[in-house]
Formats: sequence, structure tokens, C-alpha cells
Amino acid sequence: MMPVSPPKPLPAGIAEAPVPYRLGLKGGDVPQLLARLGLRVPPRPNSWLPLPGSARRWCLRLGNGEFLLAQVDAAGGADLIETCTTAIAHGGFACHAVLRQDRCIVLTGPAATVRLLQVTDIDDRVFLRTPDALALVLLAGVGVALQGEPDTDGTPGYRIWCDPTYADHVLETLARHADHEP
Amino acid sequence: MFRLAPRDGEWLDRGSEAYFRFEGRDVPFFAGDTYGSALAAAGIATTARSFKYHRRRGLYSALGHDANALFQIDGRPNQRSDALLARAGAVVAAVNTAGGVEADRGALIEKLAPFLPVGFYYKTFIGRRLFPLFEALIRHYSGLGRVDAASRPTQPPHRHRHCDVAVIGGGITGLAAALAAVEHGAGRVVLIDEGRRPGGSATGTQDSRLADLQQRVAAEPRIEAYHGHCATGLYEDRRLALVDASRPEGGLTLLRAGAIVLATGAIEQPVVFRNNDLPRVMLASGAQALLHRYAVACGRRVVILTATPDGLTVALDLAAAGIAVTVACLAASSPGEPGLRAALVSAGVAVLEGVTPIEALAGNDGAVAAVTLQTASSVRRFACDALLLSAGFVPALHLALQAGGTLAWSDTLQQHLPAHLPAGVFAAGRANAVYAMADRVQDGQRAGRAAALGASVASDDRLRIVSARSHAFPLFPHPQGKEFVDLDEDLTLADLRNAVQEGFDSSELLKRYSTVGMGPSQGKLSNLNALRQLAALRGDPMSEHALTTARPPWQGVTLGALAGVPSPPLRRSALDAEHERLGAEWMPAGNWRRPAWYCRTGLDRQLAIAAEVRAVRAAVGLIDVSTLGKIEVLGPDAAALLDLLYVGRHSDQRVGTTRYAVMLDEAGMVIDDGVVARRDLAAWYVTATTGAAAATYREMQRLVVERRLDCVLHNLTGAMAAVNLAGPRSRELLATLCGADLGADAFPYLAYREFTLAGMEARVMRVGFVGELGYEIHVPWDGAVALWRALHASARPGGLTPFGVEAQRILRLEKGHVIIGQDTDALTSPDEAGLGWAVRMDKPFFTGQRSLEALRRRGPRQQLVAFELQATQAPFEECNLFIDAGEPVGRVTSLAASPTLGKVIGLALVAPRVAGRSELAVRDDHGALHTVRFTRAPFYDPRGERQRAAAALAP
Repeated sequence: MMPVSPPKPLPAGIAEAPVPYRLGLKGGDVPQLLARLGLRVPPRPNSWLPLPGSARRWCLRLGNGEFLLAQVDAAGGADLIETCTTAIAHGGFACHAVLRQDRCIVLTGPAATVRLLQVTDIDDRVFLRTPDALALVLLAGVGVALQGEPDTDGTPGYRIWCDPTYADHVLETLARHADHEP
Repeated sequence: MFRLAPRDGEWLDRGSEAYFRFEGRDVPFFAGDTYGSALAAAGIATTARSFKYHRRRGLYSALGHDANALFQIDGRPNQRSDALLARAGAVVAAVNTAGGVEADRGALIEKLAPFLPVGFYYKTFIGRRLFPLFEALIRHYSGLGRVDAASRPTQPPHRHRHCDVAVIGGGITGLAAALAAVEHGAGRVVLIDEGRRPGGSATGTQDSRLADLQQRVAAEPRIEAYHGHCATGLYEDRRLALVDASRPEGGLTLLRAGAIVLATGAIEQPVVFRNNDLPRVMLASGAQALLHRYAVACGRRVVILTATPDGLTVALDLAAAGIAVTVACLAASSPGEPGLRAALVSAGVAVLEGVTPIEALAGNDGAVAAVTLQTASSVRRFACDALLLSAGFVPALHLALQAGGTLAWSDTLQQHLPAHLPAGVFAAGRANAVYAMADRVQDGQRAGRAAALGASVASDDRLRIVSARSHAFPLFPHPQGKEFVDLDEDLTLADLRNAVQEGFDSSELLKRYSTVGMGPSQGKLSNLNALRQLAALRGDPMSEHALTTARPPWQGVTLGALAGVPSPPLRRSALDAEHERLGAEWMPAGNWRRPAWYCRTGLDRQLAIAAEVRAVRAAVGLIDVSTLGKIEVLGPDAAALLDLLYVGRHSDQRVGTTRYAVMLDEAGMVIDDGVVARRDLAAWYVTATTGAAAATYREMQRLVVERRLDCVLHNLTGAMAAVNLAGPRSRELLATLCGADLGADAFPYLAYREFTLAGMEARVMRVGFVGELGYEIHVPWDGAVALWRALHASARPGGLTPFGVEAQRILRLEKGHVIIGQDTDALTSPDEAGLGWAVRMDKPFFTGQRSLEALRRRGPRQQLVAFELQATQAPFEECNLFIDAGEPVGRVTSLAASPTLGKVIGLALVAPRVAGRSELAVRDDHGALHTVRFTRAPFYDPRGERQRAAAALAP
């Protein structure tokens, strides 16, 4: 039996992680487009994969037919976006490039899940069971894409992709909840 | 003192003693005591006053089932003293007293009882004359605790949790159910119990099964225990609201369960007779909890009035603790098996059979001192310092009722049973009328297994009791009354009798008329007895009357716990930090914050805004308009979509142009406006107002689906930032950052262009909302700061003035441009708002078209007009009314002192019959009338030469 009352105040790190290169892809032919470019496609709706070549590149499948490509490093980031947009512009794929300016907030540490569950109603067991899980949820009152990304030692970790105009609100709300912890 | 020697399993840490202050006196307690148990241990009998008559009251259920336990603790009203752990130094008081619990002046109200009949409110307030008097009186005396307006509210964070099975109730049934659930595959079981330790009603028993279950549950990592938590509501999809009852601020956990086991037990019911509410008259189960959990004796000389075996068990427990006990078994009941009776005899407990209570009598301290009983042979008075009651049980299935479950009455068992439970909800143990310890374990295992396996089987009733465990009619009227059925509301048998005689003869009507069950405990101890009284008065069988449903929250919750940590979503523009650096004063705009104006040294608000206005008129200003809705529409049917959505025609719009667009609702009323830019044959870029961006996008989505249009929508509201560069020098400034031809011919008024600006791709519109040469520049969110800084860097020092929403409102008002939602309301047609020119009725269809046709046949109901006043400051305000012949005929919608024109200007919606007048009076907030002159808009540059800027403009 795990006593959960009162909750233990454990540390959780909250920070914005700049991810300067992002591109949205929308449409039925996105999997084919990505395959043509030699990129793996997250096999299930609401899942994600690291992209090859760098540990800090991701392909997020948002729902079924919408994708977010994101990359931290400058090297190759712009190329990735340009390659995709050029391929779409040349035609042959029923898909669109969508301007994505999401900001990325990282929540990590032993208490990351406790903190997360204060601001969003998700079934955390999904993230425990499936390491590539992604959820489109309401978090602190705004719609976000929640990516589970635990550390190699099993420490819980999450990336929160949100509309850039709401990112400060999400950051402040998470911090405010930390302040209220008994 | 009533504290006993240390007992096995008590919930106390006797090594830690402290004091709290109750009604001016220090009360000692041990760590682990509640306020209620500490008061009982200290021998303080009167701890509360009743709601209506201010009668003396004391600890009654000791388990959170009555209003007597509500205290004012450290400024917090209505705290549950029988659940909250005592805190050293806490200041505690009874609620609802005038002068303290011992000298409550409100007790005089009881003398007025004959004049306060049931239905008093309805009878009194039917006439208006006395309403003010009674309203003032009732407002003064109503309510229980007092809110301390100066105290800082505590709003603990919410928690969300999901589990396979939730088991509510940590008694022996719940423990068995939780273990069975994990044994049958549940990966996460949440066990919720109001007690701080598991055991429930079995606490204190020496049954080895309880200890075994407790140990096995404690060792099971798949079971999460929420001790000290109360499940206060059961909602759709098996969502439970759990409140931390052990903390004053009460944190809220929202739990979604795959299945739920209600091992919530049964609530013991009182006996109703004269003065059954005196201090130290309490439920037997409450006395048992005091004994086993806190080692407190409810009295030294105790009489137990019982119809249940549980009453006999309590008598045995008290006797074993050295307390003198007399058991009085109610007439027409035969509680307990022979073995239990024999044990009582062995313990030296006197047992009276077939008694009828006549009345309880108070001693000098107001607490019970004796009880008069009618026995088979005589009427006898029994001295006592505590009187315990046990008349039967109500299953605690209120959560199931909230979720649509139903109960059925059993004449055989004289209690309610679950008849229908919602899908995935299972009842077990005493809640399922299963009372024997071994049977409860077995029933809990059955329910836990069914919950884990997702079985939708109905509750198995084979284990239920087969003979009545509740008295059929434990109500004993007295000629002098004061037999309290509902202690929360001070309702007696006579009150209920009168209500039924007046025709309120169903349980729902009786509840609303008499307020039975409407107190803080929602009838946990009163509804069944009220139902019995109702059925008896009508001569109906009990099965014809249903218990009323206790609404959530089942136990009190603080508003702070419901609210949680405040976090209303707030949007910030990419330029937020730039505005902050420039001294922005903020204002809310939808869910955004926007600069209202910028502080300037030596200028107050009005002068600073005027300076911003003048800068735009004379040179160039820059405003952040990122809050606009920004939607990209792509595809062959994009033009068709826009023709459906807006009143204008866009299918014939040329590439590289923009058009003003007005959107109506189905009733033909204006709901939004914006600008539609055609980027390419099948690519459009649309702006919407700040507040309507999301609604516009949703409406587009609806039309695309409904009309099966071949187009794709991208909501870029957050991804794109936008600024408006406006003023006669805007072209000159913009030219320094781009190589594009910005000349009047190459980039005319209302044109749309895309070019590289300050190194980034920009979408630029020639618009004129503020009435000057202007460029609305849209760039990706990432590039907004660079653009903002580049524009400032390119301007000569002080040559570019940031301006806020206040200046923009004045500038657009000078130009006579309307703001949808400010100069219109929910009932304004485009014709009434002066936007009829934008409507193309010859289109096949647009949203609101047919309604607009009807509106045009009917004629306008109001008209937007412009007015002016020769003054430097407005003597009235927006929303003030226009008055004609003493009647309101319109209202001011926009108003400003124009720095450019040197007079007050405004817009107003007025009745058509006065729209043609040359002047009309406006009434200010103080009732004074001010005559304004009607004129024509625009007030400024009526021919639009400045915004078109076909030629070079002089500042």
C-alpha cells in the first residue's frame, strides 16, 4: 500500500527548452512524405519517435494525420524544414506544411508526475506503460501536446508543447503549484 | 476527565500533549485527537448551539453525520471538529451563537417557537409588508459560521488520478474488496477512507481477520490508500471528488475509476423522543468511535437505548472499559443473538426489555442527566450522564444515488437496499445489508473481484441479513413535543405532522417545505425517520416513499478547495517583454493582456494617451496587434467558404488585395469583423477580432464539414505575431527595412503583399483602421521581437512611438470605425451598425442572410449615430443613456475627448425615431442631462485621403 496523504514535497524541475526549428505537417500523405525523406513515422496516433541523426530531434504524431517535427540543434534543423516544404511544394503529396511556433516546456524530476497531475487530468499509467506516448490534453486550462520522455534512469520527464502565447502561463502555473505544495 | 487509560489500537500519541482554546478556555489534547474527541475527553458537554432555536448541543455522531460538529476554527467557518486533527494553539468556537456557547442570547428564540411554525418563510413572506423586517432578522441570524473577510484564502492544488478500481470505505469490507481487486488483475486500486487509519466500524474489535487484512493491504504496492479523505461526489464516467478531510483547507483530488466498490457502510439512525437532542445524547456508534480511536468514555454512567445488536456490542465494549452501562431494548425489537445477551449478563450489564422512551432530562449543566422510560410494568427514571441511541441503519449509498442508482425498501429488513447501481459501481458490506464480520469479508471479495474483472453483475444478495436490524418505527411522540427528527434544522415530529396536514405529503415536497434533510448533513440522520413519519401519517407502506438524494458535496468542502490554485489562462504576445520594458500599463483583452498605454515621464494617463494619438497623426506609431485572430484557408473551395461565412463577396476578390469582412450569426446579427486577404488563387489569410478568433475558426470548421468543402484551415493566431505601423511617415520607415516597392501604385490602399522584412518573410496589409497610412505586418512568433526592434532601430530617435489600445480606440473613433461588441450588441444588424454597405444580398447564401432579409422588411430597431460635444472632457461616460421625454432612447457606445479635433466625440445606438434629430440629451451617472449634437462620421479625414495616401502626405 502506498500512503498518498499527505503528498510528499519532492523536487521537480520546470524550464523552457528552446526548440527553434519546428514544422507542422497535415494531411493523409504525411506518412508517405516522411518515408520518402527517409524519416520513420510514429506508428500509432498520439505517439512520437526520435528522429535519426540527433538525440534532440523528434517527430510527434498529433492525433492521426497531423505531425510536428521539432529540432533543437541548428545543424540540420533548417534543412529538415526546408526539405519537407520543398517536397510538398513539388506536389504529389496530399499534405500541407503548417507554421508551428510551439514552445517547449520540460518538466522532470522525481515529482514531475505529481506536479503534472495537479494541472492536467491524464492517466499517468499510459506514460508508464508506453515510452513513446503522447497526449493532446488540456493543461492549466490550455491545449497542449504532452510528450512523455523519462530519463534513462527512469526518472519521470515530460515535454509540454504549447501555443507560444500560452507558454508563460503554463510555466507560471506550474511554478505557482510548486509554491502551494504543503 | 473522561479520558481512559491507554488502549490497544488507539489513534493517539500520548507522548505529545498540547492545548487549543475553545470558547475562552484551554483544552488539552494528545497528538491524534480531533477537536471533538479532546472536548469529550475534557468533559465539555455543550459544544454547539442548534441552528434555529439555539438549543444546547454536543457531540452526536462523532463521525461527521451531523451539524453539531461544525466549529469556527482559526477563523475558518464550519470546520468538522470530529474529523480535523486538533492543532496546538488553535482558536476554536461554536458557530451560530450570540455571546458564546454557554451564554447564547439566541436561546431566547426557543421561547418564540410557537410563532415559528413549519413553513414559516412561506407563510410570512407571502405578504410584502413584513418582508423587510423578517429579511433583516433572518439575514442576521441565518447561516452557521462567519466568513472572515480579512483572512487569506487557502487554495490547495487539485490532484488528478486514474485507477482501475476505487474502493470507498476502509473497513473490513473495503480492505477485502481492495485485495480481491488486485488479486484479480487490477493494476492500481485506490482505497479511500474518512478515518485516518483503516478499520471503519470494525476498529477496536479483536477479530483477527481485520488485522490480517490491514497487514496485507499495507504490504500491497498496487493499493494506494487515501486515509482521511472523503468521497464527496460521484459524477459521469465514474469520476469521484475526494476531499482531504484531515486538513482545514481540504485538498481536492479528482479520481477517475474504471470501477467503484462502495464499501461505505451504514449510518446508524437515532431514536426520536422528547429532548433526544440534549448534550451527551449521542449515537452508539459515535460513542464506540470515541472509545476505540481516542480512548474517551462518552460518560461514566451510560444508558443505551437500542433496537440493534450494534447497541449491545457497544454496551459490551463500554462495560469492558469499566463504564457502568444499562441497556434498554426498545419495544417491538429483539436485538442480538442469545450469545450476545449472555455476554452482557456476564459483564454485569443490566438489560431492560420492551421499553418506550418518554423523555430525556437535563441536568444543571444542560447535558442529559436522566432518561424516563416506560417499561412493561412501570415508568422509571434512570440517572445517567450519557444516553446512547441505536435505532437501525441507512446504507451509505448516497454516492450511488448521485450517479443515478436507486434504493428499494425492504419491509422484512426494515431498511433500504441497493435496487439498481450505475454500471461499474458495486455495493458491499453493510452498505449492501451484509453485517456479520465473515460475511462482510466475503461480500467485499465478491465486489472487488467483480470490479476488477469489469463484471456488470448485479449485487449478490445471498449474504444479506434475513431479519430486521432496524426498528420499524423508532418515533415516540410526547404531549409536550421537542422530539427532534432533524437536528440540523430543529424539526420536530409536530413540524412534520403539520407539513403533511398542510398537503406537503410526498418526500420531495416535505423536504422543500419543512427543510428536513436540507441542513449541512443532508438528512443522514433524519431522512429515514421523516419518511417513516410521512408514511405513517398517510397510512402508506414505506415502499411508496423514496429517500431524497443527498447532493454533492456529500460532506462540506471549502470553496478554496474547489477553486484550487488560481490559474486563469492568460495569453501573452511575443512582444510582451518589449512592452514591459517600455512601461506598458496593461489591460485585459479577451484572455490576452495588452498594453493600454505606455507610461511617459511627466505625463499622466490622459496626456500620455493623447501624446500617442498625436504621434500617429503627425509621424508614425507602432502597435502590437498580435491578439487578432489569424486563420489560413487553403484549397479550391476556400473562396466558397469565405462567401458562406461573411456577408461580402470574396470569390471575385483579386489576388494581392484585402477586403473588410463582416460575419453574422443565424439571426442576422453582427458577431465579428475582420480582413480577408487573398494570397493566391487558393490561399487566403483571414484576420478576426481578438475575442472572436476561436469562435470564427470553429464556425469555419463547421461550415467545411457541413458543406463538405475542399479546403484546409490553419489557425495561426498564436503562431503569427502582428504589428500595425501607422502614420504619415510609416512608408518611409518601412522602406528602410525592405527592398519592396512600397509606392502608392505598387502597394496601394487595401493591397496585400508578402516580402522579406528585416530578414524574415512577412505578410503585409495596407489597412487604415486608425485613419492614417498604415501597414499591418504579420511575421512568425519567433521573429516578432526582431521586427519590433528593427523598426525602432531604423527610426530616428523618438521618431517611432509605441501606442496602446486606448490611443487606438481614439484614433479609430476619430475615423468613425466601429468596434464589434462595443458599438454593437448581440441584437445589432449590419444595417443598424452602418455596415450595410458591406452586405452582398445577391449572393446565393451566407450565414444570417435569410434573417437579414426579414430584418430589412421589418426595419431597424436602433441606429448607430455619431455625436459631438464642444468640451475638452466628456461630462458623462460610455453606456450612459440618451433620454427623450423622460424615457431612455439609446446609449453611448464609444466616447472620447479627441486630441486631434479638440472636442468630445462619440458613437451611440439610439432609437430610429430620434436618429434624425440634430441634438439629444445624455443623462450622466448623477442624473444630470447633457445635450450633444448629432453629426456624421468620420469626424476626421472624412474623404479618407490620409489612409489612402495616394500621394505623399504632409504630417
